[in-house]
Amino acid sequence: MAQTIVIDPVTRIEGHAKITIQLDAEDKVADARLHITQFRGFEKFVEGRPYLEMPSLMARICGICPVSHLLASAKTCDELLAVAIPPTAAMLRRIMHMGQTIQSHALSFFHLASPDLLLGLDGDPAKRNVFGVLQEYPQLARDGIRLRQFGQEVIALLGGKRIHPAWAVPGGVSAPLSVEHRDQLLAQVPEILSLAQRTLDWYKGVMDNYREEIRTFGNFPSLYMGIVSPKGELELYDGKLRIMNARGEIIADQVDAYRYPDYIEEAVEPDSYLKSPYYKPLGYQQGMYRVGPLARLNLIDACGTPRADEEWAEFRDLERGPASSSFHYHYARLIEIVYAVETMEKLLRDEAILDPHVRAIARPNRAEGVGIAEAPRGTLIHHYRIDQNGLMEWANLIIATGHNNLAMNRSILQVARHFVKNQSLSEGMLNRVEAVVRAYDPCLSCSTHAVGQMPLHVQLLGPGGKLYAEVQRD
Amino acid sequence: MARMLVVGVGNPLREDDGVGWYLAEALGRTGVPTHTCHQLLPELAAELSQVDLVLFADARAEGPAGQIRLQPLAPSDKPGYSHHLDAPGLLAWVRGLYGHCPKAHLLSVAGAAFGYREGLSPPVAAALPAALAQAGALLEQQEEICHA
Repeated sequence: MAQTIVIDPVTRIEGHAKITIQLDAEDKVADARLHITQFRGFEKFVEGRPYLEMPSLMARICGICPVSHLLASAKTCDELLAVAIPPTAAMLRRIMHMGQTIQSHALSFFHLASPDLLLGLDGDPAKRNVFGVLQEYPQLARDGIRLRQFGQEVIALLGGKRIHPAWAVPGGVSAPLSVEHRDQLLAQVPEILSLAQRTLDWYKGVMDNYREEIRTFGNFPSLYMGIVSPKGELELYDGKLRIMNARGEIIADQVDAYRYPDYIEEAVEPDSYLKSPYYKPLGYQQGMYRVGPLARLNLIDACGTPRADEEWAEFRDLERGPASSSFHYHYARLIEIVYAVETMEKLLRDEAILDPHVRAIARPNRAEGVGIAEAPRGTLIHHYRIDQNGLMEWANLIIATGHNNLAMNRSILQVARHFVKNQSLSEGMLNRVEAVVRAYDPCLSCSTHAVGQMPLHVQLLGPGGKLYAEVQRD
Repeated sequence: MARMLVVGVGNPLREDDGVGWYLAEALGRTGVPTHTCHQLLPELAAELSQVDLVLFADARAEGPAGQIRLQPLAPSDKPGYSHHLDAPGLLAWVRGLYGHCPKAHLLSVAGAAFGYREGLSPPVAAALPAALAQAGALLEQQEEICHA
């Protein structure tokens, strides 16, 4: 008799989601689906607002990565103005973006993922959380706190506050960097780099403990997408799109932001508010691609900073082609923290960073603009159209978690098929299904709902919705 | 010299919910280090581990409008997390991570209005001088203890 397992809500992710696992008549997993159960509607309610408001409004999409939306939006508005922003403004935006990458990656790794890595996927769920990490591994927890604190300090010093800074504006940024603040940040770089390296070294030491998870956590061929610099190096703030296939061959390169509709189509499924973008030339499902740290480190030619390049060389040795297991998102995330700290230091040591000319003033010169950035979780696309009065007529946003939607579904199915053996719902099995979602670090909450110690509710349902079994943890 | 920190919590765009910010900013003008935030975050634990006394200033929803309450705080048994992190939960982070915890108090003022606008309601605005006086006395007392 066919049955359905429901995991609702999925815990330790940013937002609300549930997972349905469909069993067939022989109690084997037939299908698995990730449902995003919250709706935001930003694309619709910004219509009619002045374009100048967009960076501040769009930053409210997310409480974890507001800087990514702020910058993607400001870049889109730069396009509407049709101006080249002052070089120092671009450098400052980039520094803030590095700060956010550090704090967001640290949140994902230390607060959300590390309980599984440190305390075991089969560990007692009452202890397998950030508090368990705090008790058992206080040094690692302190390192996580410190990295987060530093990333937020970068954002606060530049933007005036930690969350939702309105500092990036159309044409540049609203305030230059002071000598005092530059020195304050530079003084902390050696310590932060050391913490990032220590965490990475620790992770590499324990990675072998997770061979089975590496083999089964979203380990399948897919495309990869991200932006790269003109030299093909890792780029988080500005660059052009590159797409790689499962064999490691680059199938599209240096694609201008405006041409994204030639490559990406968005499908809609009836059971989720999250759209399912795919690579248009290959069609729905076959065009599944992954974005974010794993994809970025797979498709670049180099990171472009010394220590990150050393680490990236090791990362590339994981497999002969692209690293195909989504478990390696964790590894890639830690390398990107190193890259972000190094990049920030390089920018802060450039004397031009103190130039007070940080904004180009102009009126709109285009009716349409596209801005792309690499958010911590992957490629972020903002696309606006305005009328002759500068009011928003239309917006399209493609968020990193959306790009990964098809891959997350495929990953859940793979994990469920491997670990779900019958109708009995073991804690470790359920946690693995959740953990594969966490590997992508999906950001669904966008700051509107509570997250953290949400209960895990699993139901085993038969045809017609009859409840066969139920598991609940607080 | 005592190491002190005033943490003002709340949302100044929601009327009386911003009273913690008003208090923190006023105390900051007297030279006391302050930190204002919409909500408490675990990262604040590192800052708290460096001080002898922390005073949380916040609004509360219950009680007659403008009523002031100053109460000592202790770490909770279990650290709070994310949107559920309150002051005792944050203190538990400090104790868990750094092995010690500062003395802590919560200065709260009962709010009357929590709508979408800036500014305090009349009863809460009227309570500010008394609330500041209580906070000032507490901080002064801590200073004297450290000097003794």
